[in-house]
Amino acid sequence: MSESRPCGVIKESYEKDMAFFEKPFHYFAIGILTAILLLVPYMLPEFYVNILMLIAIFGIAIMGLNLLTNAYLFSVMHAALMGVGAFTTAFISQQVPFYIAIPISGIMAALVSVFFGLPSLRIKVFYLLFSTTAAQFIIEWILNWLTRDIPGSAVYTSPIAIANHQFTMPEKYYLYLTITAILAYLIAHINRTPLGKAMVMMAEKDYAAQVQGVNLLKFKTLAFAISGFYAGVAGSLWSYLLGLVTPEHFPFLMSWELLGVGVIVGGLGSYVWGSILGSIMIIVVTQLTTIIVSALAPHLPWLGASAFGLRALMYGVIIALILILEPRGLASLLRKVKRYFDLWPFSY
Amino acid sequence: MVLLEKLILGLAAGTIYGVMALSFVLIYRVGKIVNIAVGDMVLLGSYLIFAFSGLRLIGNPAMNLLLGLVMASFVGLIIAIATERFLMRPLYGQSILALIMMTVALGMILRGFTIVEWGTILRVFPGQHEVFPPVPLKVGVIEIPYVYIWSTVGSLIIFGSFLYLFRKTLFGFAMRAVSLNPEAAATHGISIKRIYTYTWMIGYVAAFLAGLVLGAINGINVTITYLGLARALPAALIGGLDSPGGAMLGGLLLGLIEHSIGTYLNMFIPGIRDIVPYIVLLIVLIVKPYGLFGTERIERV
Repeated sequence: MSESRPCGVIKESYEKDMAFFEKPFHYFAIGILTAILLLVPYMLPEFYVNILMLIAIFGIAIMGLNLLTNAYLFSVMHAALMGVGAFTTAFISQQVPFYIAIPISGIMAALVSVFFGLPSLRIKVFYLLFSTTAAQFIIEWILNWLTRDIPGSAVYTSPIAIANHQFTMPEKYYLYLTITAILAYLIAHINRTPLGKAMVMMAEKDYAAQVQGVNLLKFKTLAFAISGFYAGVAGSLWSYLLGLVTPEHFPFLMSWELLGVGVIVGGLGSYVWGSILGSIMIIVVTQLTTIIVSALAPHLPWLGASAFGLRALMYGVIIALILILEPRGLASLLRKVKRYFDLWPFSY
Repeated sequence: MVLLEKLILGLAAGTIYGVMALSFVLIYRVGKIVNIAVGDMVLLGSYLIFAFSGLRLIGNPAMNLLLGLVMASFVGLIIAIATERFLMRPLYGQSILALIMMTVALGMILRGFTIVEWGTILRVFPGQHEVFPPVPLKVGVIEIPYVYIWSTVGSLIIFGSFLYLFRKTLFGFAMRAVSLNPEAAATHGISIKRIYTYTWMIGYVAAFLAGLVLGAINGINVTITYLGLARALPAALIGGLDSPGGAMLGGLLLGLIEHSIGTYLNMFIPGIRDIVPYIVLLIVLIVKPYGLFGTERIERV
């Protein structure tokens, strides 16, 4: 919206300027994508469907984080917020159906997020990284403390069901897809709301925004709440996918993965496609290292324990390369391709 | 008496926190880089010292460890040059988020490398039990482990020599000039790139010393990363992010708090000692974000 357009792209009415999909081609592309995603469970084995669901989960969490980071509010507690959502779901899933448990998990995570985000009124930029680092470890400790009597700290989640009908594979996948689509649709519109406009100003300089009449308390809290809600929903879905959660599922490193690989590599400010690309990056690298290590393990026995290390190494290299070569992330590559085809074949 | 023992232990541990905070503070003050990788630098240091002292070039175990530290420090200098040249230099002048994320990438690379190379098994330095006997030193009724004594001595030496370098020599003067205003310093003939490289070098050497001590106290393991980060950040914040002297004071205060209040609370809620530094961090951030000696940033619209 805010980007300048190349010459040759002419908007003749306000409706066209405000349109969500700018061209008929976009409807076509979204339709094709939807059709492919709907057909996936019938074409690919369940392993790949599971990976798609993981991508959806991380994508949702990264959407929230992307929103927050774009307002220049940094957070490295999002893994812990996912943990809050996941544990809320795990604790209440026996009593309530999933369509109540998921929003409640989101709201719980949003409350925690707002609580630890409140210092953002007083502290700025990277100081916020420190406070959320503290928040991550404190939440993690509290989760451990809550589950101290449970062997292995593992809490089991009952499966998704409506009136004794358990959701099996394609249904579960469609449910995840629907939730992701709804949340992505909502966040794609955020730049048109007062929050989105306030965030653009806050990102530049929050003092200046305040002078211009932006209520910092309201909008910073709102940004943290929305971000926390997304993380909580992601955690809840994670909990339903795996069937059990332990605090070890949400380590500090995962927060950095979400921020570093998810937001920065994916594309800061590109809420939907950047987040999805970042999420794909996280999942693909994870799977790739597992494959590499399991393939090499018979030949190099010392490599067996270090899939974790190889993953961190690859993430580090990817983040460094992206920061040097393409600072706006993979989404800007996507945008460049789009821009090229916008005016193709006569680009002058 | 128990309290006195805890306080002395806290001060001794605090010196090493101060050295880690020094590494963090120096890189922040001179290069304006928030170095999230400080914990990983400590981790790499302890593993490098482990590897080099494992060669057993000298029979005496204490000298062997010391030689390991020196050799690891030389490797650290090379890594510092590479860090500055290949990771940080392309990003100078870019947003603060990019710089922070680059240190995160650096941390991931260092940690990933150590895990791939040495695995996740808990290790101890060769000859550690001869250098730091497990029986603590007894002064009256107070018991102090030997590790803490040697770490205090080592930290104070490093810290003292750094302060001398920073305050009294021409080199330190150049460093302070760059930290104040890089462009003006450059017009006066100071090579900024070189100063940044030296800064990273000092940062790495300080972190490696901390790696030796934390490795000896805790055992060499990936958890050192979080130990290092959890102690370096609050210590640096208490003292003020751009004050090297404040870093040591912050480290000492953090050590005192952790070993007195933390140990006391631990009797009632087991395990809370692990997050005491983070609670301190949050309180400091809310009450006094610029620390005791840090310069307050005045924002103008």
